Amino acid sequence: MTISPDSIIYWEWKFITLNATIVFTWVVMAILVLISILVTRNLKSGFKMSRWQSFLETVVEYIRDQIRQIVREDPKRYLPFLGTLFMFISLSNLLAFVPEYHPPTGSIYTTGALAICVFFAVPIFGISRRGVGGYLKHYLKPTPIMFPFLVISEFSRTLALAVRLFGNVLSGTMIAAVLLAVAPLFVPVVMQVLSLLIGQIHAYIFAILAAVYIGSASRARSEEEHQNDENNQTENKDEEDN
Amino acid sequence: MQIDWFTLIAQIVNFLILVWLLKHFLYDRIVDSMDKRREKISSRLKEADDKKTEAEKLREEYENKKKELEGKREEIISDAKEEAEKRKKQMLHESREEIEQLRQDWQKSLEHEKSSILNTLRDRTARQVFEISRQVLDDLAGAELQEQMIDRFLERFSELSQKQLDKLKSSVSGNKGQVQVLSSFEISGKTKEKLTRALKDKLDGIRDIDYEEDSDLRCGIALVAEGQRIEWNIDDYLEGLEEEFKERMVELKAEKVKGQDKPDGEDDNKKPEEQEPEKPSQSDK
Repeated sequence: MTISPDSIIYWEWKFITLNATIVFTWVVMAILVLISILVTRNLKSGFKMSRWQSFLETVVEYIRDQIRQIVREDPKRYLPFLGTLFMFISLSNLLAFVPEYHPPTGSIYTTGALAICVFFAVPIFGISRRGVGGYLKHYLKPTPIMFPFLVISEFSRTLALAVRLFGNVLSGTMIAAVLLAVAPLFVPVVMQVLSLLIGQIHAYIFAILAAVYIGSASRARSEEEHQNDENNQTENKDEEDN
Repeated sequence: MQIDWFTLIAQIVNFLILVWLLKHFLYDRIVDSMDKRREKISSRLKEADDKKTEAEKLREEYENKKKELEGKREEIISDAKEEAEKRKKQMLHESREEIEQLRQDWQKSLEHEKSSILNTLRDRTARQVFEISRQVLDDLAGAELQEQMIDRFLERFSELSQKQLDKLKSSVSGNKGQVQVLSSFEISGKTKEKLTRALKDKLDGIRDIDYEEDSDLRCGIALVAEGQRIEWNIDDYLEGLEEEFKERMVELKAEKVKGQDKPDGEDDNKKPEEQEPEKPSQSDK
């Protein structure tokens, strides 16, 4: 019984090993890119469109909406990264019902890679949004004493991201395997459905958490600005009332 | 457990590639198309809004124009009515004037005719009357009447004023006492003597009297001396009578005209006409 897709190795040359994780990652990537190309090949900006375009527009609009709610600014710059996180994890988990498929998210290397991407994306977005000084100042708030804890939290939450997704997907696979031994009929099907649901939930959680980390890093200043704006607005209102 | 660095890095790279690919093939295009659609919708809405306002404007414009036209039409109609009323009045006035003119012309001609008839009648009557009277007097001019006439003639001298008498006397003396007595009848010898005596008594300068018969005198007797003439003639009376008769006739006519015009004397043009016939009578008085 194989637990991790890493241990399934299709091809090996020197240090290059093509295991199931990489292969199925490619499969998922291929499906996503293919669908995208096929659908966006003849996009229509009119009022009549294909069902696929409508579907993708719905998904993209939903993601944009979620990002907008968390970051509270134009989601344009965050959409590719966060959207891809969600779509990749979601499709990886969704394909679990296909026989002989091993979700790449079941590998700690995949989830780890995604978490590392988030880890680096947070300062990159933060600095691009607020500048180096503005981003680093964020570690000294509310007091400089908090600085070490904030640094630790950066690492710990990255680790938590990776392990959470990995553990859940792995547990789903393991439960299926265990139940297969105990009650081979029907019960595993129900558990499979459950694990599909859990997989979607964790795709959502992963993307949302990434959005929250990125948003908190790039939003600090905009919150100050927002507050200032609100103060100004109330002052203006008072003046107008007077 | 050894860390499989290759798999980790490969997954990172894989993910980044996927991000790039999806950004390129999915997000950019989808978002672009959605933005375009949104733009299109908003532009169409704006267009519709514009069209609506334009239509509203046009409608208002047309309504205004319609109102204006209606107002103009009413104005034109009222103008035309006024013009027609004016024209009607003018025409009525003109025709009235024309009728009045015709009436006046007719009246004038009628008047003229009447007066000419009247004149003819009057003249003829007067002539007839005087013809008859003269005839009668001529016929009656017998001896006795002649006596009377001569008496009347002599009376004339006593009626004369001293100045006239002196003038007559000087003219008689200027003619070397030669005077002429004209009569319409033949004076008999006895009467002639008496007349001569009487004349010589009245005018002491008279030496010779030449008696002559003159039919022009009709019925009378006259003394002529160097341009001076003393005369008694029935014609004098008759002429005086005729003058008076004529005057009376004119007056009568004027009264008649006045009486005729007064009842329908509504026109101002008549007044001068009315006064015209009166004038001679007034001046005569």
